[in-house]
Amino acid sequence: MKKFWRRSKCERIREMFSPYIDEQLGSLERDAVRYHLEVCEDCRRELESLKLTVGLLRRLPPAPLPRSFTLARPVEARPKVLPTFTWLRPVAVTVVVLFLALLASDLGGLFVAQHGPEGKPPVTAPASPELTLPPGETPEVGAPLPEKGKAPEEVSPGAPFAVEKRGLPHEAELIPPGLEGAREGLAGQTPEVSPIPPAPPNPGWVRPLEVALGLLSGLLLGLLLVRRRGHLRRLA
Amino acid sequence: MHEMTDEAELVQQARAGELNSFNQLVEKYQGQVYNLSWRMLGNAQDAEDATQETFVLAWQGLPRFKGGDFKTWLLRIASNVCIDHLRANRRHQTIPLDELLKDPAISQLESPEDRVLREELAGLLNRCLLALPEKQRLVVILADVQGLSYEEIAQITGTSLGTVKSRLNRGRMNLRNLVLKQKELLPPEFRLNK
Repeated sequence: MKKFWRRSKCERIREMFSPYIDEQLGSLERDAVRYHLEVCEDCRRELESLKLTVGLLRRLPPAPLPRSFTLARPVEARPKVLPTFTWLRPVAVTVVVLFLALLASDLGGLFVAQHGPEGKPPVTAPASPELTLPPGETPEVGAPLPEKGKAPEEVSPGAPFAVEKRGLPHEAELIPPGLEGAREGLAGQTPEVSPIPPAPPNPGWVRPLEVALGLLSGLLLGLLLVRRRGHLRRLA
Repeated sequence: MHEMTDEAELVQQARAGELNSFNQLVEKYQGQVYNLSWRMLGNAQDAEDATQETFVLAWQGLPRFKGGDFKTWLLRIASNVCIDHLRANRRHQTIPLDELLKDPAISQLESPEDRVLREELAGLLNRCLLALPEKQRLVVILADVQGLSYEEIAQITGTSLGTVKSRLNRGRMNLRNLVLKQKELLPPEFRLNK
């Protein structure tokens, strides 16, 4: 135990040898080193050999200069030490701008508007031979769905949906007072039952393009950052 | 004091684009930069390249020089250039001393005429320095060969004073251990010691 304590004490003292030689220790630490040196022969030898090494290093002759390193001309004497990627910054900026524009357009629903009901024909249910009416016939709103093989005149033309009469109030009950005559005025007109189109999805190329541009932006920005840090480090 | 003022003026003029002023600074510090590079890289050609690169980078970086000690700033650039060279060229990294002593390229540094003990000792010290890890080597060279203060070394290496102290201590100890392996080349006081 005493040996272990002694060794760790010696190690702690030896860690202070360099600043002790260079007179960089505070008075307390310096006194601790001096006191320990008086009682520890090993550390005294260690310090002496360290002093000799430092003395040898300080006596090393300077290496003679092979030539002058003055610069001949300011412009031509500025070779680019790092490989030049002059294209990197504009390309990175372009890619990031494209990515942000695509993302904003996607989030703002631009692609939905462009490629939705106007871009494509609305989605309708396939026409069924049972559900078609002969031309000139007026369908009755609220008529029950025809069964297969029954008369097609009970269904509105081209309507994918039909409302079952069962369970609904009578149509006369739904007409507000004073507007009873309006029904007659509308008689003979075909009611417009527009189908509700499902929300059209984005075109298939939008999401992969977003991901690709995002990854490319990250890569190019990372490259720019690494080069910038390296350059700053060299210039201190 | 007058010298410092002159240097500050030269730096200002160099920042304004006067190449002659910058070249005066180059002439003043090229020995120190070359010696640091040579001790760090252990090779005259690499040291020459590193020195030239340091001054070119300094010229380029002068507009960003925020003032302070020009020598410290310059040696910081030189240290970074040397470390970049070492990392780019792995063959210069910490070679065991035994292999270093056998390296014919290094043996060629000593001409047959170099029989004088002092020169052999200098060669031995250089080889031992090259065997140190690069961070310890840099601190030892800056402190013991270039004679810089701990504060200057901390600025050059971009580390704290405590780090400088511990790196210097470990570097000197390792160097001493390496040197002691070649006792026959050491002065008598060294041989008596251990």
